[in-house]
Amino acid sequence: MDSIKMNRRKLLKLLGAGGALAAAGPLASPAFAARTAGRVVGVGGGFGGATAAKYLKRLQPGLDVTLVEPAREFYTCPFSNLYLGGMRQMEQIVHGYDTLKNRYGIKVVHQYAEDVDGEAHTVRLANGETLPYDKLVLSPGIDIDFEGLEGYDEAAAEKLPHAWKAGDQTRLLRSQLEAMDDGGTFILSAPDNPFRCPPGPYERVSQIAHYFSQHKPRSKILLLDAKDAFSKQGLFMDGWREVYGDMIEWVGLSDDGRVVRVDADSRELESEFGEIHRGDVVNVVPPQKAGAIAHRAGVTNGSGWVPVKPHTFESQQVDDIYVVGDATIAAPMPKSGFCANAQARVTAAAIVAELNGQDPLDPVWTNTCYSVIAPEYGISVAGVYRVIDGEIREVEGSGGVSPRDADAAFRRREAEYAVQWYNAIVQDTWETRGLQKTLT
Amino acid sequence: MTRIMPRHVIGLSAAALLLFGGQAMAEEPISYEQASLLASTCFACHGTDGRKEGNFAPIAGRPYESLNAQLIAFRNDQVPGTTVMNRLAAGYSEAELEAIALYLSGITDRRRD
Ligand SMILES: Cc1cc2nc3c(=O)[nH]c(=O)nc-3n(C[C@H](O)[C@H](O)[C@H](O)COP(=O)(O)OP(=O)(O)OC[C@H]3O[C@@H](n4cnc5c(N)ncnc54)[C@H](O)[C@@H]3O)c2cc1C
Repeated sequence: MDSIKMNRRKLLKLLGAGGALAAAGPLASPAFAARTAGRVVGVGGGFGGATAAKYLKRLQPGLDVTLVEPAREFYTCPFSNLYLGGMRQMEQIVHGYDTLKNRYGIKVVHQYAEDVDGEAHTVRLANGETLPYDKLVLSPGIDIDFEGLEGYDEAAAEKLPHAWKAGDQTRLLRSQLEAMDDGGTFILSAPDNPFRCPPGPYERVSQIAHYFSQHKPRSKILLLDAKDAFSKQGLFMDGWREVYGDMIEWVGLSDDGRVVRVDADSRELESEFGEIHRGDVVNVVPPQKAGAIAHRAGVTNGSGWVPVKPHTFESQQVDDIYVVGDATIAAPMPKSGFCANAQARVTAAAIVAELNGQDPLDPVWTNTCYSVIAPEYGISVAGVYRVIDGEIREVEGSGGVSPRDADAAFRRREAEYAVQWYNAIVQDTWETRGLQKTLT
Repeated sequence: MTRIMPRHVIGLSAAALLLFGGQAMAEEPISYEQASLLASTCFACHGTDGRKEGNFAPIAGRPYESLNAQLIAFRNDQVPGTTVMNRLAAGYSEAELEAIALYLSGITDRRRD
């Protein structure tokens, strides 16, 4: 009671002092709610697209929102490494669209979007249907750049999985790990920046080390890297040594870690200076680019990714097309599910503001990427981002990684928080339930 | 159907959620929409409107004073044993944390989404 009174008093004082009531248009939200005008189409029902659709409906329930996604069920990349490590089942990382349909009134169309006509404002689906839009949100995630690494094409990926989109590829990699003899060598080849989930390859080898330490303790892990530095490097290396001894060997760019050619049949990787590494199981995390529909829509540039206007994530190249998630150039924000979700919320608000003739809000985005090195060993990197001098920047003094000298209780807590985060973000994105509370 | 955000704010019309930046920050008013956008940065870990319950401290509908004090303490790195909230709260001004606390304190319906 007290707090409400106090807030009221405080707010009235502030309102009196500023008199900015009318200028700020504070009654806009209820007004938006009643309006119906506006058709928004979203392409991609992953972290960015599902969140955008939900928040558009939350902000303006009268909007006509259609979400286009071929899959009826979405497997999250987050926690797919835990499946590889044996800490999760695939059934625990799959999410559907029922609540978004039934409670939010989003039309979910299970089709692949083949083309976008930015002039005509239409999206063409694989079944031939055409969807008109006033605003289009693309969140197609990544495509593997099969031109980017010699010898690595779609057929090669059936032998040397990337498992960088969760689902069948992840199952394939797990089955290869299960079939491998104790004492074998697992090789992961990590790409240069930018790529989906900067800590992902390093969490993956941690999880595979967890699996090996329990079932195949004589096995080795070789991580060949096209970079000399990686996300949470010190923390990962401490953790690997502490938990897995010398099972994991990391070879960076300067030590000839960059893989330039692969031979899928012999499971051989060739480095820049001609060294050949043969693995019993080989996981190629290949170069990547924005999902195909972004290229079709004409929103990508020469880099293969999408330049966006920082305040709204509207394309710099085509009006009324907004792009969020991994497909965008949003550095220093990483290509994470957390950021895709954050960008989608800001962009949904920007679209609603624009449809109602208002200025966009001041964006703020956050990120927290947990990596689970072992069941009781989690680490994190966090960041807060804003538009500063017309660019996306990390707020000075915020963010950063878990302390290097933290104790075991701290690491255990971060592993628990990883699960809590997973449960929360899947609720916020698909309105689905997460996992049980603990990891083991 | 979902309820729209303004109805969660107890006893306050959306109009009343105007705050002014304190201290060194520009004296810009924080509108209801801006407050809800700021607060939405909590949702990826605490669930939509902060309603998710679990290991993290529940935040939806907690009294304004305690939320605000906690956020400011995180910002000043004065909470022993903190893992990530100090790193995150450091990215906001005090006025913004006040706006976030006000928004979250107004979430009266504790029903889980
Ligand atoms: C191993 C691994 C671990 C990860 N762990 C984490 C983590 O712990 N935390 C974290 O925050 N992030 C993590 N990530 C990153 C995260 O998965 C991505 O950043 C996130 O999925 C990006 O969201 P998005 O919406 O851009 O793309 P996605 O989530 O991939 O969604 C894209 C969707 O678009 C659909 N689509 C594509 N093209 C079309 C089309 N033409 N028509 C219709 N639909 C289409 C696809 O089917 C897909 O469902 C991890 C990634 C990997 C690989």
